[in-house]
Amino acid sequence: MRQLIRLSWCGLLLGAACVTAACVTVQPYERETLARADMQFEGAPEIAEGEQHATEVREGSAGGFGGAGGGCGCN
Amino acid sequence: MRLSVWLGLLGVSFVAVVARADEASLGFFVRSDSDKTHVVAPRVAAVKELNDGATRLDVSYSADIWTSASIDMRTAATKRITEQRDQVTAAASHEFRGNSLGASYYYSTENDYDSHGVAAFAIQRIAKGSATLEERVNVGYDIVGRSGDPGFSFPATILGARLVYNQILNPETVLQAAYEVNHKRGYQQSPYRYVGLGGDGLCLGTAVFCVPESHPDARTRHAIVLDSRHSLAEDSALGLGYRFYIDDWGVMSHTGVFQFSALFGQESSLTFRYRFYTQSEASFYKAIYAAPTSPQIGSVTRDRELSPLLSNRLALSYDTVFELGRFGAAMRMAIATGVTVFIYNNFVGLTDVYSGDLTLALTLEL
Repeated sequence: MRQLIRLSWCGLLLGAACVTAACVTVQPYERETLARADMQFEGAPEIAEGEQHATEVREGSAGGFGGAGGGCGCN
Repeated sequence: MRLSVWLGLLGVSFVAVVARADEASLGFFVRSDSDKTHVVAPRVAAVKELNDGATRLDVSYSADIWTSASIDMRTAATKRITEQRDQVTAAASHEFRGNSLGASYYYSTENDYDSHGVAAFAIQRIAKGSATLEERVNVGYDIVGRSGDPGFSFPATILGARLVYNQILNPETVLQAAYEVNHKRGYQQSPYRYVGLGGDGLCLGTAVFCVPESHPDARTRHAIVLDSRHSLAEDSALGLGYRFYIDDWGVMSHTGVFQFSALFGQESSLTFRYRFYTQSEASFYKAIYAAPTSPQIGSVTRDRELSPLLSNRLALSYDTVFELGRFGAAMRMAIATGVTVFIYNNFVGLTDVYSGDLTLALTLEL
């Protein structure tokens, strides 16, 4: 129960941050920097899959960072 | 490599040629660790764009070929084994007025595990394009078998949803907030693992009883992620990310990611990435279970992923594009290497695992 309350607080904080941030409007001509390769959340899919292979399938947690696949991940 | 891998690689390559794909890629992932596990994972993919790029079709094939004599094998007195998992994925998406709709399907198979998954997603641009909202739902169906036991077959179903919000904060900073929930019901333990009760907790040691691993048949998992990218100068950017994870098996974890990227010219970038992870144990996990005093044993596990652990990962990746002017095409190359250290705080027989991995991906943009 305590953990769920903690999760709810995190959600509320995130929600508040997003609502506050949504007031900001950056014009299209100001977005050149944001289009650069080093500013993207998703890089090459093979590199992201490699990191998932090396970490997430060997940990008890999953999800949040995107990506999904099948299999038991037992190895 | 086995025949099925060659067939998968050739199959997707054939589709790419016949459909005159706009993009075709080939990748290899190799991993080796101190727990005597080695993985080789080839991947081939093709992308076809229609309607002036508004519609996108993706198809890919990947395989995991792994050889292991890990602690799981050693404590079960099983010899080194080699297994293979094959996966095909198909996806389609369509963009209209800045919004997107899409769906994907995957089928994964190995000798003792089949998995099907379907996902649908929508992306909307809001706040005059300064923010995007993505909703995704997924459904999965797994069939768990046991090698050498044709009568052994148990299902598991997965329901999941993911909400992602991207916000441009200023011309140099972008923020991402995501929430993901997944519910899995059905068979979730390993059909091969046994748990020693009493003694030193090892079936091959002095345990009084040795019973099959048994997990609860339902698990609900929540993850909240906050990620960001900030441009430091004209040619470098900083990334900071954090994930909070919790589930109803009692596992709680924190993941922190730091990355620094530098651009070289218009087409090349070098990224350094550090990832820290720590988790608590599942509520029913014990390093050593006491010998039972009644026939009712409850959930017991010998799964190190449910034990308290932490990991540190350092990775370096390089991405570049070569112009193949003569053919009117471009070749993108991504190469990455990483070192990960897992520390097991309370797992009998294993205190740490050191692993190294290498990824090479070549993408031909036609």
